[in-house]
Amino acid sequence: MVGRPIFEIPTVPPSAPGMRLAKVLQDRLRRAGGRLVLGSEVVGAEVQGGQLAGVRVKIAARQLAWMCRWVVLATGGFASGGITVDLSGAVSETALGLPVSGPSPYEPQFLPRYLDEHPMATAGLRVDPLLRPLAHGEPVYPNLYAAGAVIGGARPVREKSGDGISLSTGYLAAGIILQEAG
Amino acid sequence: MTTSWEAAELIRGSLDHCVKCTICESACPVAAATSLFPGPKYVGPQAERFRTHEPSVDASLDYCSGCGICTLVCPQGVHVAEINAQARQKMKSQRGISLRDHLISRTPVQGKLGTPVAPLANAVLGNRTARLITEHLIGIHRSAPVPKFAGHTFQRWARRRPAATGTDRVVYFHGCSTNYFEPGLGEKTVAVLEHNGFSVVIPPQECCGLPLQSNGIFDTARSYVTRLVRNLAPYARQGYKIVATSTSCGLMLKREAIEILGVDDNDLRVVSEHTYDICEFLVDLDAAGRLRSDFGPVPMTVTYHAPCQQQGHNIGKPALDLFDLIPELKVVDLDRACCGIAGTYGLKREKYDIAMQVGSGLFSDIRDAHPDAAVCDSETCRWQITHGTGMTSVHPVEILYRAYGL
Repeated sequence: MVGRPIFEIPTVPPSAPGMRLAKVLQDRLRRAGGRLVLGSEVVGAEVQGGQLAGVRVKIAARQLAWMCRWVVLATGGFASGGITVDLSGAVSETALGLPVSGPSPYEPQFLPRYLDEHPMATAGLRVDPLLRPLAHGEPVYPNLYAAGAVIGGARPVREKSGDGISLSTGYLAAGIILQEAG
Repeated sequence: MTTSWEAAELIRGSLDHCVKCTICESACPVAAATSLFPGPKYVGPQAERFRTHEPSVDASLDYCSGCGICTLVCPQGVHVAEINAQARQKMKSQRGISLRDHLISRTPVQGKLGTPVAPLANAVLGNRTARLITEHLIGIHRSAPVPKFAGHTFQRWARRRPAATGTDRVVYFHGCSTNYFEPGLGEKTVAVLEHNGFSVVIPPQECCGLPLQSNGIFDTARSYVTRLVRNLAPYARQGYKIVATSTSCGLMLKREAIEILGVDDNDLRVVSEHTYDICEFLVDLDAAGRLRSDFGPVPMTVTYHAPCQQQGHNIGKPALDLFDLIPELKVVDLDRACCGIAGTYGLKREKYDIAMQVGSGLFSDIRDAHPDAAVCDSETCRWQITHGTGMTSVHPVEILYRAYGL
């Protein structure tokens, strides 16, 4: 109608491209026989023999364990509650209690200038090239992968890298699992 | 009775987690259907700070249907629907509660009055002139889907059964709709549970108070639910599970009475922890290798709509896992948020059209699938689906009952 190409800019919610992408993924999941469960909070890990055997979730009135072969942790960073900081300044990962790298309680929580990077921006998990969260340089569980802003080390606001990291790590994690599943 | 600190903290505390992302506004089925409702974030986390002891000048909150989808989709864990339910109670207590809302929210009163005179009551409810008068006098929409009285109660059927003697017991919380309108569903539920080796205990029971709660009549709702859990708690304390076929009433016991009404009561807590939606219970049974698998073929196509309140259990869609076990059953899982009725919302004169608009997508999906039946776990949603599509709508238990050949 206007005779010019039109492009979309992904924005913060409500984002039309984001909603469209979510719908496409959900439809694919359902058509493949998958189940989507909304609203239940993951509150811990079910560990058997060093493997992550499942996750503990909070549902209405109680908790239960969902058992599975692989887990992708995509709980988001500080802004989404995947990473949190308590009143003493200690940084932690909320769903599975994984070790987090980030500013220690003894480092400054704020920098002097308004536009300085906030120290919490880089807080998050350290992962290996297969996206497995690390503790002391070793994968915590062989069957746990991290994707998106829960992975630390980036400066998403300054780098404008947040969506790119989320999409590429999510895609990579799914690819690794598909390969392992054969 | 005291309002629990946890309930207050859950609501007020979660409010501060709202980052105004508007995902709840995008997902709200009512805001999409009418400009009279500005959306859950607007009437909830944003308007909450203006709610003081003085009545608010903004009554748009009244158009919230209470479906709870906002809480379900909130990525920050804000209890939007619960904030709004409490705010509605406050608003209605300031502005007054209509006779209509008092009437439609007291299911046991309707049941006790209508059951002995069922043919007459059903004739009146099906009569166009009578409904027109009711609409003008009281405000219940002339076309709104109302159930038919069965003429006998499920409790009467239950009392005539021999007492449960088996050691493997389960308690059945049937709710008002099964008692007064659909006793057949209760009988089939008992048959399915007995087929799986359970002795089914059916204690005397009345309304959980959910319709009162969603109409902002909290004091009476609290006394209803407290009375109900007095009857159920002794069984829960013995470790028996309580199964519910009315998914919204099951959710009331599991968490809404605690989180919305703020009831702080030991009987409620123990009942809450032991309450299961029937499909949740049967899927757990299957996971434990205890569900009987002698399902015969059911050569039918059915649509499945998971109602909003069922989604509030946070258990996904266990009915689909059960249907997977049934040979030859073809299931179309519908991806629609809400049928519009939201308990009593769609019955109201000023909200009927909105409710039908909310449900329109679901109705057309169901019609397009040409199903033999539209399956749905919630009774008021089934009545709305039948009203909107003209098709038979049944509880998942009806399909299991048929597959077992009972």
